[in-house]
Amino acid sequence: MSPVTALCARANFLRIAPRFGGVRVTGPDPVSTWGVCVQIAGGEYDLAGLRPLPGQRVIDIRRQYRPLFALGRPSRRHGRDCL
Amino acid sequence: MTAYEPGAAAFSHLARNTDGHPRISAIHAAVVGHADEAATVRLYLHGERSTRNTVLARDIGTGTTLEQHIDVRAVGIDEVLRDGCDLLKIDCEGAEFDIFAQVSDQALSGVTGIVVEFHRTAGDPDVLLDRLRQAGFVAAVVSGHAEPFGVIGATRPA
Repeated sequence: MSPVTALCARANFLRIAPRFGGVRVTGPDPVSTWGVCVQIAGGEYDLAGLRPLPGQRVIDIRRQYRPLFALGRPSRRHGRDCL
Repeated sequence: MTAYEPGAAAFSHLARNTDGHPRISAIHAAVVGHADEAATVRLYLHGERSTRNTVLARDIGTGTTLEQHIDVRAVGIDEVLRDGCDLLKIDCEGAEFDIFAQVSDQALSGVTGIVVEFHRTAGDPDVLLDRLRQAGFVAAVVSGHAEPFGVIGATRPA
């Protein structure tokens, strides 16, 4: 999550689309879009032993416009890019 | 990565947000326990929160009846897992119980790790834990031990 996005989240300023992993994230409604981004930034799905590695096959079912971010963040944090 | 999303509006954003990532395949369909070819499933739309669209006919958080709906293409979980995967992540607003009730042992045998969000308004997470353990996973609730929803993590034994 970018510093500007983090600041917007803290200020509950939802009119600006969040940026996550360098990508502007859009969704059908701003509350949901911000909600999932904040959840992921907070570590949702960042589970030991369940972080995807480069080249692995991942299947992500539902609640989309976020799969990239849900699974990309933990990998990036560990210095890898699973995408 | 293969990503499934049944909602038309959410799918259009998914496609936009993942544009330029050649290793991500976005599929416009709902994943269900079992589906014949050309099957559809009814997706109930939440008026305010697109993330709460569900194949159940009620708000997964409050239990309020949902009226507005669309019919979308359905894909069975065994078909989704036909080629196996290293990580399966499921966050499907209550449909997880139907999915794990009908997934075959053979399909699960090709999966290494699973992260699934559960919703207590749709079922008992112990049912999911039992199914995963029966399929050979080490499974546990990792968050939401007393909340209306939470996450189960499942891995293969070391």
